[in-house]
Amino acid sequence: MKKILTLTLKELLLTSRDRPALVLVIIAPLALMTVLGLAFGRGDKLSPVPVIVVNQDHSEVGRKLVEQLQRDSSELLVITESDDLAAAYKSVDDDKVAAAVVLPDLTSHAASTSGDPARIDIYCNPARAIGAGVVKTIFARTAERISNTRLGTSVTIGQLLATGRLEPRDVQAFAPGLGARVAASFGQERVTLRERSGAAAPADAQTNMLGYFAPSMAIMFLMILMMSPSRSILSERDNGTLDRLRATPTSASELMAGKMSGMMVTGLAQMAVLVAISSIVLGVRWGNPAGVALLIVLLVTSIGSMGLALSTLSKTLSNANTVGTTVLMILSVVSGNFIPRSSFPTWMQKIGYIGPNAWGIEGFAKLSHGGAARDLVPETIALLTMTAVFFILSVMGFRRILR
Amino acid sequence: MAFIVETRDLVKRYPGAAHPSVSGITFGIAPGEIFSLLGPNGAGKTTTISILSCLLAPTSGDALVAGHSVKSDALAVKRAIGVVPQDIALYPSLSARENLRFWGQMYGMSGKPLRTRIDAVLETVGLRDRADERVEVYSGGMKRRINIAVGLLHRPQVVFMDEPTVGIDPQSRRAILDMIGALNAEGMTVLYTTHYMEEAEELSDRIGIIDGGKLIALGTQSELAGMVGRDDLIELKIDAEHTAPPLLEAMAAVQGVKSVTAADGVVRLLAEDGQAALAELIGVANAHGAKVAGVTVKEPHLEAVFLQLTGRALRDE
Repeated sequence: MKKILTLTLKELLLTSRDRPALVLVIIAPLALMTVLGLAFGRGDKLSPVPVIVVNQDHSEVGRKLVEQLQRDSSELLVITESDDLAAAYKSVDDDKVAAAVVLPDLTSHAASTSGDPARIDIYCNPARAIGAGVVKTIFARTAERISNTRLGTSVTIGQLLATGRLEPRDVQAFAPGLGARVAASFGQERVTLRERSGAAAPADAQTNMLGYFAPSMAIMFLMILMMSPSRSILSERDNGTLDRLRATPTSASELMAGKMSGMMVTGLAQMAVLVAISSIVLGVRWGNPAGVALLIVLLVTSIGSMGLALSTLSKTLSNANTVGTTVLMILSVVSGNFIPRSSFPTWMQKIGYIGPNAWGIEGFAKLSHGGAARDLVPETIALLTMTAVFFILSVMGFRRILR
Repeated sequence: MAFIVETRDLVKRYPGAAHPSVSGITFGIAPGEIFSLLGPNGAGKTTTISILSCLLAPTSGDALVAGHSVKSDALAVKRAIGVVPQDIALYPSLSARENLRFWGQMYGMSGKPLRTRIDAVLETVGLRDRADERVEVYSGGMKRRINIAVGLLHRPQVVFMDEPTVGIDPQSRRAILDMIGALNAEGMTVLYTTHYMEEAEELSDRIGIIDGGKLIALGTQSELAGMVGRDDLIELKIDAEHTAPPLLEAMAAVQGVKSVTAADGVVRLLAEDGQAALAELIGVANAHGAKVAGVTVKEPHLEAVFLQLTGRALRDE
């Protein structure tokens, strides 16, 4: 463990001494974030996301819920109401909206004793992944609040039934009235929740182009650092330091762990600096800190493993450089590091998922629109899978180099 | 005799190679000895050191270092050895002190003992006053000295030095040779590889001559010189254009001449009595239209041994 720490600190020290590298991984992304953000206009919002809501709750609760959503999310969503479920789904399939949301009959659910959960169905448009992500994040919060309200309603009805103050045959008649009262309190609860979570914060700051390009550039330059051949195991081999390391009483697994750990810590430091400076100086809102930390760790491990795999599987430093640059450029383009993927044809948007970048950009979009760590399940699964695959490839490549 | 380093019929054959890089090498190094492996480039010196350093696995045979097998107890071998690679293996953007600290930690050293030892090796290599400068600003000779210092840091039982003076100025070479002599005087065992005969002659208690992956001679300097008897080495400086086969054949026919080679305008001959053969050799050269620009007659030494054993001069390589 001590040697792994020694190797890790050595990598950090070498990076800190490499001024051109520091400029490349810290100054350049900050400059690009600023330039791209200003070029597209800091106040130039991303278009609000079009969404169709099929409201199956025709009671007071349903009406108030949709009104609330329209009022609170006007900066982010353009909500169109519809009663036609098939037409709503078709609008998604035709790429006219980012998602169709089906609100269930909440009032009947509240009155029912079946115990089945009320479910909000979101039919997402994969061609507008970021927009759909925004919709999912907003409605996830909505569902949570409805659950709280519904639970209160259910408990109230249950207690009234248990104490004999309400007969089972009267539940259906009683529920709408209770629902109306709950809806009234629901509105107050929404306001309270919004203030607490900061959802009322200026949405424009979170949806401008700077908010898009900050994470996008940070991810791309993380990739540049992680795939830099100057820090690779091949570079150590060519400089003779790998053989010298192997001649010390250090196991191969310690050497590899130290090399990987050095890269990861360097990547984490780079992302931490970029997030901190872009927040303080440029006013970028990255979102939920725990979610941001989780996503950064996932990105660093997946991109770091990818960089290590590429370098260990290349025969020469020159090969690693060529392959790394090619992979970097292709992934940056198809993943939307320069231009949001929503502007791409559908087939090309899907290609973006082959690398970590697109998952990272979507994850950060969710977080900047109020999402939390728990909203990053798809990103977590995708990035962990990539980490595992690239790690296995790295181990194979490392063994080959040591042989 | 108990050896601190011992190789037993060591063979290394790379996949697809026509010949083994190391072929059946057997030798032993006694504690406190400076043992040199002398041979031309590609002779198998670095391969042998790489096997002893556990960087390469032997195809067959085994080697023991401080009693531990390089095949079955590599970590124990690595704890016992210090390695000075042929190429400088340092981190240029770190200072000499930072490099030494890092490599010391990789040998399990830390704290005050490490700091004290760093100062001591810096003193040994004469770079204590420049220890905090980045290695990238050092001259080639200074880098070589720090390269050696890393190998000495953890007080190894034996140091493997693979051509540590290649490509440096005479002054730095002198400093390094003096330093190795001083370390040996303190009891350090050294395995030294070189293709410079003068270095092997100056430093070594015993010398192994290696060529084509085989150890072709082994012994003290006087033992090796005895292998060529009383033969003298004659070097004639002749224009390269005149060192054609007819001239060399004519020289080989001179009485007392045992072998003839030519390279870079120098004809080298082994003769029973150099002084006696010299006049006739110059006459042969003149008869072939070759002008002799310089003459040297040397008493039996390592170059003569190499010439006799391989039919080639070490400098031909």
